[in-house]
Amino acid sequence: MSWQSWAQIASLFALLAVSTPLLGSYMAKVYGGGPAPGDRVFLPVERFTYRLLRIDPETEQRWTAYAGSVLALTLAGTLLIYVVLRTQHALPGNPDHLANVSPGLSFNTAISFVTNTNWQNYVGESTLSQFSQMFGLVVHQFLSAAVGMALAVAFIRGLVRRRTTTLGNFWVDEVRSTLRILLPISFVFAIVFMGAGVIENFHAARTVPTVAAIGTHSATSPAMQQQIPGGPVASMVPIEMVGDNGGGYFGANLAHPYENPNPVTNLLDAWLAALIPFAFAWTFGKMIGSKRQAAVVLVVMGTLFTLSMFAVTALETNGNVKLASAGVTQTATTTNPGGNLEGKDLRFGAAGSALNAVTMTATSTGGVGSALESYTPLGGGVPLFDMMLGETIPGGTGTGLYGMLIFVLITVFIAGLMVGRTPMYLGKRILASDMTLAAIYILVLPVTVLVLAGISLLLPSAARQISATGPHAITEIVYAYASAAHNNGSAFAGLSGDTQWYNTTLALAMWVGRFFEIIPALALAGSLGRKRTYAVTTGTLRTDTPLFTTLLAGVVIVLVGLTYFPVLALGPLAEQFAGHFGL
Amino acid sequence: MSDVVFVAAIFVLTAVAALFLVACNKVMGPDEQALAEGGSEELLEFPADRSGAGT
Repeated sequence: MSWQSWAQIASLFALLAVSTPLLGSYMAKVYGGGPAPGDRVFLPVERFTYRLLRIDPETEQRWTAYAGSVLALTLAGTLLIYVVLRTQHALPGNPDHLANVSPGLSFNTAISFVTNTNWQNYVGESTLSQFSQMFGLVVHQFLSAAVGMALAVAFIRGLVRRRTTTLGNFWVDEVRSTLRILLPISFVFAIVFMGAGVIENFHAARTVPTVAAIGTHSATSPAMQQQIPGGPVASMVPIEMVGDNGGGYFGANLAHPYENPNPVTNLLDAWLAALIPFAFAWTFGKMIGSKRQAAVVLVVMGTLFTLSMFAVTALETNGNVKLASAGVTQTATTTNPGGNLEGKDLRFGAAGSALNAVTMTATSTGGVGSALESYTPLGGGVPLFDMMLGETIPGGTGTGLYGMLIFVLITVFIAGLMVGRTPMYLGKRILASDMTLAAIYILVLPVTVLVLAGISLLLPSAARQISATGPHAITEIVYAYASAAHNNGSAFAGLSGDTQWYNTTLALAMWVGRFFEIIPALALAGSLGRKRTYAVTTGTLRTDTPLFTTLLAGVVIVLVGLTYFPVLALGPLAEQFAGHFGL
Repeated sequence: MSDVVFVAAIFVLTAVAALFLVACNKVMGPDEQALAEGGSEELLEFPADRSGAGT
């Protein structure tokens, strides 16, 4: 690894080291119920919003009402996006006069954005109008991210509260998450990104003459002209990142120079994506009153994240065995950043692309700055594994925290069985019904991913949409469903997804990945909130020790390994070994 | 497929999620039984994080 690789990674960790306690403490005050910074500005807006939406902020909700509110908001949002996309030709903000989006693609896109997945089966600049992007998509990038944050807070309340059946008010948590956290960060960084070269305008695409011929793919297309798209991009990128959405304005996403123009914006993108997920672990510590418990979560998230980062960076900067055997120079020179450069942008090189890929998949952002399909088999396999970890290292905005806390409960249960102690976390006994809900949470995603990927491989019409063959084809298709079901939204590339089968089944995977995870998690929070706390005795298993931290990391890896190892062995592992043996 | 089919699919997916919510509520069991569970009502505190209390 070059010094530039080390510098990029060190910069990201330095930024996170500063932002995690600052933002985490602020968020604890926002959700704590007491006075919070910015009350003078935000409180009047909040009260106006509550009056407008007829919300009583003092009313608390049981978990069923909390989950029902999430469902109601999502249903309304899905229908709204669907209508906007289906009627965009008649709506304003369409300077390129783009046609209405097809029903299947509208269905897929609507579910994709309300579930915080942002899987994109379309090319943004040539399919969606500026109005569709701003009103249809960006609004839901805020709302869906705030849903995850609200759920995390509800989960923490379930752990902190005793003998209560309520978890707070979803609408209050949603409004406060949007207004006090997501909007201010997005506003500031929209200006920063504009200063760094990300475009922000309402122009139609402009046809410009090129300096040299750019291609002769079609006899009718002029080889000396190029379409330069416009659009409100800088205002979309911050929420795309900080909300862990990942849905970009352009089809090329973060590989487009108007969306991610230089290594500085590439680093800022990575920081923003990991900002709230790591900060939430700090918020957790503040809200339960224990830094040590938060440290356990932070250490596991941070360690697995760091290992992924170094693994992919090392694999990609060391080059690709197959490219080497084909005689391609992969050594760094003054004009060549070195490493495996196929499918990567020369502005970022192998190291910058690896930084982007790991951050976008270890968080549930799913932005794409390079073609993962062209990574080394293991280099592409690690981001896939990161998603399979349930988006917990550090995962999405809020979703990462409660995902990791469910792993904590499972670890407590397993450890309790091993040493013969009553499983207890934060003074609360973990019962069989809690473990049933945790098991549902853990098992729903692998079942969805593996069943749908298996059917797609067996269906000739679906299999024809996969560009690769052999182990690489397995990785492509499993990646697509893992990305959809884990609400990540990144694409491995190589799959033509805009077909009836993929539009429908990927939407189904996204929906299942969202609600069949949210509902058991909230039920678990509701169950924990009803419990009494028990006195700690010398026989109580401590959950704030290095031993427990190690055990938690082991459980996370082993659980995922057990469920996904066979398919990983058939995909990236088989391909990596085949390359090494020259097959 | 037409708009009617996809809009209907959105409602069906929401209804299935609502049914799943009801199923999870059954797994949890009734509130009364859980609230009646015995316990020492100790306050959960982490005094300066020295003891690992409450764990």
